Amino acid sequence: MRVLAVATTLGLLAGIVPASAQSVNLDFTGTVIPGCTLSAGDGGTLGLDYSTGTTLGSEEAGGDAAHVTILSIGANTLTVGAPTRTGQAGGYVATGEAIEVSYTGATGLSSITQAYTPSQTTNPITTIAASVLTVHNRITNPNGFPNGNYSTRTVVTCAP
Amino acid sequence: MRPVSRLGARVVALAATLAPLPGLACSISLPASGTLRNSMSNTVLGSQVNGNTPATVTMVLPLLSGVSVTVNAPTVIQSPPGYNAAMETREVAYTAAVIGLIQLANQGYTSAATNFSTGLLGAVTLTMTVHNRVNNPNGFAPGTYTTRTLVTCHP
Repeated sequence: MRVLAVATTLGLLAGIVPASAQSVNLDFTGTVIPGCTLSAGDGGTLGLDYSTGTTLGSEEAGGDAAHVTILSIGANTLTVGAPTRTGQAGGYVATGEAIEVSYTGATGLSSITQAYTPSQTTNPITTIAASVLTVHNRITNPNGFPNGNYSTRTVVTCAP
Repeated sequence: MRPVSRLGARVVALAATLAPLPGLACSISLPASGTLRNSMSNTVLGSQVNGNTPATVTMVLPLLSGVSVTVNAPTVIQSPPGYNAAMETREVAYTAAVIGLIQLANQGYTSAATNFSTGLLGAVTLTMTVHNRVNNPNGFAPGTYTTRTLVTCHP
């Protein structure tokens, strides 16, 4: 007993006593830079409305929408330009045609929907994760469409 | 006065030998901060995103006694105005090794507090490499973010 008492006493004197926990905070810091990026998706396909022969569009049979992925960090403006015709078959009569665009967003762009319009449109957007915008084009022409290839283009931009 | 026995003398000598050595506390030193970067989709902000910039910390384990190390779940202590934290999750991952050789722990990303024991290793240096990441499907608004992970060694 005396031996243990001596050892314990020396141990205490030596500072060998149960100690309190030791802690440290490890911090991680990073800065997110504002901006907006567009990732080119797939182009669309135009199909002809064979019931009338006067509408060529991506929502007709055989047609398909175009897609673009948009990532916005901070306040930006998404602009969808007026569509243009960039190719047509020989003998095509453009008089009386209307070229229109419509689009709808998903995920972070789910609040954005635009019915067919021939005009440029803009939408304010804020921080969103990468989200897909689905774009349709169509041409209506009472003169019809001679057989051949047709193409349209819509310019999508995103900027502060 | 009764003389101390031979066994008692040895115990006394042992205690005296231990006196100048570290006590039962572990000491933490050299903490180094990590850096966060956002992913291409802007849904993850982490120290292993587009690079590898962990935080590190060194511990000197006590003599004759193992310790238990607890790593708390990270918290976000700084975020910019406009940040929507509603759907965020925060995670920590780490490795711990003795003198960079013997791995004592390898914890994958978790949002919970975890701990590991060093066993009866004594008077050795334990190095921890710690990563943090924040996931948020709403994205990260522009500005500076800071996360914090509390590491504690218990004697």
